[in-house]
Amino acid sequence: MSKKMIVLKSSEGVSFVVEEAVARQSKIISFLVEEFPDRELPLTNMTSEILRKTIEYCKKHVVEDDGGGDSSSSSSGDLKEWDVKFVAEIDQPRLMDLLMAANYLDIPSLLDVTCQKVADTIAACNDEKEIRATFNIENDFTEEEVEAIRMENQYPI
Amino acid sequence: MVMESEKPHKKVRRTRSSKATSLPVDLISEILLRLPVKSAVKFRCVSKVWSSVTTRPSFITSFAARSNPHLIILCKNKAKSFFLSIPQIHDSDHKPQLVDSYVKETCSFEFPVSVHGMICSISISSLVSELTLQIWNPTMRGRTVTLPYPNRDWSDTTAFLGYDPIDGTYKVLSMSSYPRARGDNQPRVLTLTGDHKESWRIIHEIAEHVPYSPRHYIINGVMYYVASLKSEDTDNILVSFHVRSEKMSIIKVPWDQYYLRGAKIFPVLYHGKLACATSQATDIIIWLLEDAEKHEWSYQNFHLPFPTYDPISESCFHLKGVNDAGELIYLPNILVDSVHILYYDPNTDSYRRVVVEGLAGDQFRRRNGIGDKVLLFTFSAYPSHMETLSLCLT
Repeated sequence: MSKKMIVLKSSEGVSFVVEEAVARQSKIISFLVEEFPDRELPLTNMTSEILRKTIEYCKKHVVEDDGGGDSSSSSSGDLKEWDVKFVAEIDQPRLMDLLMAANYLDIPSLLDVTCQKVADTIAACNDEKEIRATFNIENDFTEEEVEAIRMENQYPI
Repeated sequence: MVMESEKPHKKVRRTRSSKATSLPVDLISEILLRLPVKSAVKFRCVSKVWSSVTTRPSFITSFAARSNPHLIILCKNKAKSFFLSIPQIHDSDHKPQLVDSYVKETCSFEFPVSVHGMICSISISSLVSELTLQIWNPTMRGRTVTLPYPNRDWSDTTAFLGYDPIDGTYKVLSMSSYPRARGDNQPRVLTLTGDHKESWRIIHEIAEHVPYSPRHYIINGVMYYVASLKSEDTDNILVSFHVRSEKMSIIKVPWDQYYLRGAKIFPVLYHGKLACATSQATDIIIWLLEDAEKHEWSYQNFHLPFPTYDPISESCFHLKGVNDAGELIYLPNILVDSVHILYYDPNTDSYRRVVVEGLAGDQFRRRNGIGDKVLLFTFSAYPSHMETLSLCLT
């Protein structure tokens, strides 16, 4: 039996033909497929590049139910390793886009790995200045305020 | 699974491509929740948004829920108490190891218990040389809050910390622990409000009693501790305190304190029921509470499958605590470089051994200014310590 396919369209108008089971990992797409069957789904705020990445992730994580119980192509240990590699290869601007895509499409596991990757990047920074520089955050504290917060939250090693 | 109805979908704001590295505001809390506790505290000064996100009560609650549980071992030398923290979950990738240690001037309590990440202790204040009651968050080092003392007429006081998970509030239950005390010895309870206006409320609907030890156990929002009635101070009772409703009740117990000769009694969960365990050499007795209203208990006897003197680690083991799975935690009396921990599970009558390399070794000693020859005595072990950002209290 052939698998049901759906079409997702990126902001550049590029169409991606995806197995429905793969795309349904997004709760939003799952909902849209029910509401508008057999229609192309426009994802106007996702570039082709990010959509391709998102589909790549979903393809890896799809759990196929072939009647004989759930069977995933990979074991959970392998999947974890694959996830780590997957986010490690992405540069920061694209990671942010992917993070927002995961949030928008509501793919909890992708949101988790991307958020964790950003958190790891933050934790690896030496001080707040490095964080501000890395993530374009404006320092809206005065020096006195920073000092006060630091005194309050001192964390001697 | 996060249901759609719980999680409103936010429109993704298109950020200018050059600014794509900025953190999306909607997701800052999701990201910061995944930081190690030290970073979450240290980086509060990044911006006002970060500071406000990480101090929000809902964030603090979620952060604590995500935190990995730790086993804390309390040991002492003459002058100080040391709290050694070891992640509880370990596998081939994560060796059991010391991740943190906290030092505190010796508290008069031998067994302060960590409740929802906070520790309650009574200690002698060096400044005014009087007893003070403090709540302390070891994760947030500097964070110690001194509470009003329940009753200055009490020559000896016990305080138990409780947590109400529904309201997310901490409460302290306190009473005189001096058996011959006169005057007003009714237990008192105090809710930590954080505005330093806390005051003690007297609980009248309970007979005066004296806690047997400062050890207590909390199951499903109910605190249990062993005590004896003021009127007949030889017999033990088990007292329950429902943290939320503040209802107290007394359960009669089947054991004879004289027969136990002062052995420590640990409230513990056994086959999903409240039980009390005690250990004398390699004999373990577990009393299982069958019916609290009828004060009905059943009794089981176990024999430890290992000797109390362990030839592998060449040390003597004693029961020092119980964990949420109902395992009895045996620790050596003196902490050395590599510490063996034996967990005995009466449910399956089996035990497991965890070796923590370098627990009280050179590095720990150097960092805390403890000489090589100084003995560190093990006092208690309490599991499921969680790292909370809660200031409880400000």
